[in-house]
Amino acid sequence: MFYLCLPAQQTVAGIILDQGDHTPLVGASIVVDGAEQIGTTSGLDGSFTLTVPEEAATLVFTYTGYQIKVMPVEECQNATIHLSVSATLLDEVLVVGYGTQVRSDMTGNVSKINKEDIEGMPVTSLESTLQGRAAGVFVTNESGKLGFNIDVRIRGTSSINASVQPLYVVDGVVINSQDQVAFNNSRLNPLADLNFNDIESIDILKDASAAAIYGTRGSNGVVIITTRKGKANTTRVELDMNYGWSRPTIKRKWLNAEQYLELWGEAFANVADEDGTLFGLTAEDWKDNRLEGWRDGNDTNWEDLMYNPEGGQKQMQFNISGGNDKTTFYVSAGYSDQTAIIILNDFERLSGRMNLTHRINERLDFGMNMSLSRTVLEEVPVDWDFAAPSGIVAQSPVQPLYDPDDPDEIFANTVYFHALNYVDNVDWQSTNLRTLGNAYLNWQPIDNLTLHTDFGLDNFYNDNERYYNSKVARNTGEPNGWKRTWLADVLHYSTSTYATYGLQNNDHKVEATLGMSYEGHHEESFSISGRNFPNDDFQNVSSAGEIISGGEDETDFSVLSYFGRINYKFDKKYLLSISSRIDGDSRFGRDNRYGFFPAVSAGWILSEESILENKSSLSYLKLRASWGVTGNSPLTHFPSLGLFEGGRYGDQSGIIQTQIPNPDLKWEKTTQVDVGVDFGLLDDRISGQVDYYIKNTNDLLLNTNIPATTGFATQLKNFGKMKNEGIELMLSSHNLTGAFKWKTDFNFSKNRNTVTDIGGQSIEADNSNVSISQVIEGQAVGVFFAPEFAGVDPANGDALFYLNTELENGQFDRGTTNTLAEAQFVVIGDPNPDFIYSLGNTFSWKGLELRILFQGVFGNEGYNAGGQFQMDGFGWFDNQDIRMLNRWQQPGDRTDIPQLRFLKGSNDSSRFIEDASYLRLKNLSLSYQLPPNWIEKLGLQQMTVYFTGYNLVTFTNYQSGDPEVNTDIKDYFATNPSVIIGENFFTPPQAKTFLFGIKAGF
Amino acid sequence: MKEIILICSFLFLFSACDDYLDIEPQQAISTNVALSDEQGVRTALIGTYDILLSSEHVILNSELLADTEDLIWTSFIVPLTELLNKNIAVSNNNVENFWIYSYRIINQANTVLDAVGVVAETDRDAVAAELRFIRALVYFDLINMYAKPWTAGNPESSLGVPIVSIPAEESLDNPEVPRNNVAEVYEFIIADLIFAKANLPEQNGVFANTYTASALLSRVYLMQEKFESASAEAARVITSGRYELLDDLSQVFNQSDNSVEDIFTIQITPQDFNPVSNFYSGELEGGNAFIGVTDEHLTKYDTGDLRAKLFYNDLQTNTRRTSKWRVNATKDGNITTIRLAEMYLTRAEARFRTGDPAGALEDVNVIRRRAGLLSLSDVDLDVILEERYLELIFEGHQFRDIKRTRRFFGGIPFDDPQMIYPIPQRELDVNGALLQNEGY
Repeated sequence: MFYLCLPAQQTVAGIILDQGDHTPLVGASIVVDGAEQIGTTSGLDGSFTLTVPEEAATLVFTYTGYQIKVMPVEECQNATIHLSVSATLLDEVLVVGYGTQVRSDMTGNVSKINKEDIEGMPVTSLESTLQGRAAGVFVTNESGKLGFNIDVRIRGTSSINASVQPLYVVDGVVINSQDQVAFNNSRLNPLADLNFNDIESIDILKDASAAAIYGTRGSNGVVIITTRKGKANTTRVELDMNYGWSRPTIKRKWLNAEQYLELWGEAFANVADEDGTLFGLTAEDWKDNRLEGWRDGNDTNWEDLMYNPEGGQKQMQFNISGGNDKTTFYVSAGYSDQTAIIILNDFERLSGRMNLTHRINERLDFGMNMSLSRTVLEEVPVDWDFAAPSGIVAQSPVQPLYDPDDPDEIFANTVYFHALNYVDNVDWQSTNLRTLGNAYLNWQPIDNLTLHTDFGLDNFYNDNERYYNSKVARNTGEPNGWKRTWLADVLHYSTSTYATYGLQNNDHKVEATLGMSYEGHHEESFSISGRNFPNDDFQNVSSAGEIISGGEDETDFSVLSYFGRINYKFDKKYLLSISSRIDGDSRFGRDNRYGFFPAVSAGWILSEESILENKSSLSYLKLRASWGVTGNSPLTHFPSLGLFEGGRYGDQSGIIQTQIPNPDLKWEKTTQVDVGVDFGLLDDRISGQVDYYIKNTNDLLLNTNIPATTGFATQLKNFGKMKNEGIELMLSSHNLTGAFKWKTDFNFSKNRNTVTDIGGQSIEADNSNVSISQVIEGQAVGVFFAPEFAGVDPANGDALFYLNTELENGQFDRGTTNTLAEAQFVVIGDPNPDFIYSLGNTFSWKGLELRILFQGVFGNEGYNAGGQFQMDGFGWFDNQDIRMLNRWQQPGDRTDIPQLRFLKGSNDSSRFIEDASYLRLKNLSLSYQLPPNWIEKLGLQQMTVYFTGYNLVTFTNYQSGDPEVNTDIKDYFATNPSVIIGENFFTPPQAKTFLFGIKAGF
Repeated sequence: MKEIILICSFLFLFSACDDYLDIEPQQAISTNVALSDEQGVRTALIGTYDILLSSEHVILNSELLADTEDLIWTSFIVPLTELLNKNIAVSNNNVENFWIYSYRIINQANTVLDAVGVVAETDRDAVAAELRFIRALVYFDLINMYAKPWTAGNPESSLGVPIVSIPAEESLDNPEVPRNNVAEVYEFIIADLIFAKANLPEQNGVFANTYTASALLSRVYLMQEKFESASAEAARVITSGRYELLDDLSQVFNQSDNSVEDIFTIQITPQDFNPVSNFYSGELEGGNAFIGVTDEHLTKYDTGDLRAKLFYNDLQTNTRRTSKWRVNATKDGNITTIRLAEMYLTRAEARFRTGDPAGALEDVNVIRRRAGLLSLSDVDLDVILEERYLELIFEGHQFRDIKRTRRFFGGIPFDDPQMIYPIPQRELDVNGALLQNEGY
């Protein structure tokens, strides 16, 4: 026949779709097996046409992030080919700064968290969802309070006076994540404004080769958040609703009235004069004066009163996504209302998002991502305040909650003022309006070259209003009401432009990126306060009889950057990546304005070598090594200038010198080396990653102690060194892949922090003697420094302390003393864990899925700073921890609780150190996807019902509440707040939450 | 070609914009701008007064350290409790902060003094005089707290405090300065005050005037037991005609505006935190309810002594507290630092010790009559000192008075090392030239 005379060829046409949601895969590659030069890519509707030689037997379909599919040619003709999302770690697409990369090509270290692990979690802010999900990422929810700071440390702490938190980037735009501190309260978390249900994935850049592209802000790691996008040719409507209950993870135990009176009486007798009086008063006199109501048989359980029986949450997420071959969209509305486990505290978020993409023609596309949110936080006082809900445990159980003469009124003469007085009398709200958006344009002027430009905006407006009426005068000292309004407007805007050039053939794959960015930051705040209101119904400053203060602040900074990166892959085996960034930052000194941050990394895919090829047991093996430099900027905006600031005296305004100039001031410099192995076993059924790193930070931005006789106690200088060294292990295994699926994920990370050089000085976290955390050369940052408790003298019940005086031979005197002042201060504990780990298992069978995540922290100590009052043998009338029942009573008693003597043995010492290791059943989710035939009648495509439990069980030896804790007093007092880790001062425990939800799609 | 032009214009966005990195603060100004003209120097002088409040906690702290029988301390604040227990740790943060804040004020004064040349010549010395008055006030508190009193040991060899008289930007070049001896520090203080006295105006609102300098000078001389000079300076204030004792004792304290009895006060506005009255006042007044007054103290007043009425019962805690430091309704009661009654009592003592008992009797009776008591017919030193104690209790005098008269704090001798602050450990750590006090 005629056509037989032509070269033997045939044309294959088909369409490539996603296995999961049947959307077209655009740009998938189709090549002939054994003749890779013959190939094509799929079009916008997923279709392809390829002319192949007759001898061609099979075609290979590849698409980034999907499993490779190999099919005989004849089966491809007019076929619909489904590719499924790659389940293995190695095929994950990672979002890196200014681009994306497949994990198997990656030479740096990036952890990825997908939306399944984020969606619908009963938390306030997205950082909590990172906990236990990534090696090397240590997340501490500091208390059960909602809306406050969450501590995230990636590969350890690498700063003392600059930020220790990572940089957050949303859809390519650096956002403002610096904690918001309104007058006199703890740090509010600006990330709580983001609705994490809109997140598609979170990528965490950990090593220097990944983070160096973010230059001066890469030292603490970078968290890249990508929000969800629509998919072409399908319109999906999703509704997700859940409802849950929250309770404290752990309750403590306190003395009841009978125990209280017994122990108080015993303490009094131990210290009273011979005639049975103290300062001339008998025990009865004292109780009558201070414990009104003690004769009435009250037995109030104050601890229970700090908790809100209504604690829980409601979440609703509604979104529509879809599009056609030119335009895609994702539009969502989210509502979340969370009530804390403690009274007074409530968090509400209402948010909307619209993400759009549009392809103008084959070479030009643009898009925008935009979210608006409004959050309302009912704030609570810091732990230090008697009005803090958790402080209520200090009240005596012999006193009543309500006034016996008027059961509607709170009893006024409690030992301390307490939080229940605030319930009806204080209105303290922080409202945020957040606009976060960006718009971008991609243009492909010639093949292989893409130019990208974008503009991003993050505008944050905070209205923080506090009103105290006349009934809380005991705490405020304001008999006629007090009000403060604080407004802040923070604008962070940025623009970046970069070009990406990619080239690929058989042996070489090159991708190069070059660009620049500019970021500006402007913030303004305004405050006014007044007092003496006509009555308790008036709450605005305009009704105040007296305006007592007002203030206005304004500040700016800007960053100008140039960056570039080249990724090169040769012979499918050898990987090389070079990147660098030049950052100019207005916050640096005039003489040191620009910093240079290079990084180099290389990888070798050993499994592609012939000796290892075709060993199916070892399906993938890659060695990686990277080196790079990152930076960290100062927290304040004008740290290098000599400054005078305003003051006032005798009705005249004055100026005060507040800072001496340091024109040499520059960034902290972290040099990080990372070596790692990526591997896949048994056809990648088991895959994993092992990394070892050393992070050396030099030129710390340190508030260096200088002789105060100069007029300044400290000066911010680049001085000192710190080191973090650690290993990380990440394992993922598909244990069973049949109808019954079982997947296991395991993370382990160990980081050791050492302050290697701070000139021999020791730096206290605060200078008000509240915290015992310090920075000491040769130790980890934040170690506890105080006298060492040696137990109780069985002969007389005295608290004993080790002398720990250094002897001439360099040893320490282990003799004991009952005089605290004779005992030396020593390092008595380290709040940094030896290692952190997590184990996640997912089981699925038909529509049923069970996910279980255990998360643990091991080898860290916690300090119960509240022990000085909770276990002080009645230094005042505070109720005591139940452990005090075990006090020393008579000669021969062996116990670690001293004789009750009003304060004895209660100063800061290792007596209040506890092992704060814990293991938690962090998350247990059970979901059931209803069979399609059940729900089709309802017009639904999909419907899932689920149960989620969060923080369900905690295993720990810690006895002073929840071991995952850090007091917010630091934000109030401390000069170096990030140094304080693991201190507990009447801090409320975490919440455990149970929730039920339903998710529908149509 | 079209593409190339477009690409080039795209890349134009890469052009440098270095100017954007020059950002000046909006609430603050840099040093060379701040003090470049007379206006700047004058506002910086006001600023020097403003920060005085930060170190004048010493009025409270020295009283806690001196007290053995008058106060009831009901606070858990460790550093202050250490003062009361006379068992001060070298890391005590009140001791540390007092050092830091004092030198901060001294530096501000030094920095402004260094720039005083831009002030018109006619006013220059007056501005300098105010600054030197403030500096002397702070140094006098420093020497009292951190060094042996003049009356113990040899002032020429007792360690004082470092004298720094240059601005921070210069002292930073050589920051490790040793302690001068007590005599040198007194000499420095007196030189400042003599200059201040000579150059300050007769009247200066709430700021220092020439009599304020004399009043402080009389305190310094009294401490040195230079009774003639102390008497002369006190007399200069008393006879100036500018000040008089108020008839109503209750109007003397916690006033929003200076009274005619006030020679120097620290001005307080509602925004300021006044630690002295906060710590002494009850919760209902808006204070912290940390300090009560013992029953025993009340027995020290004679029947009819109006000063025994300067107390109130805090109902919240059923505790007696002093009205001298009761937060007022507008929360802006000034901190009384020097008032006329002290001048009478200083002169009385100095007159007595210089052989003028009649003059002394006259002065003591002025004070007694105002307190509603009958005049005495003769006095001895004990009577004068007892009158001084009752009149000035809680105002920060006892600590100095016991030391200079070589008496006891309860059972503790006046020159006991525990009755002197330690040099803060943080300061010893960064300044190798400093020596610690005996006993620490």
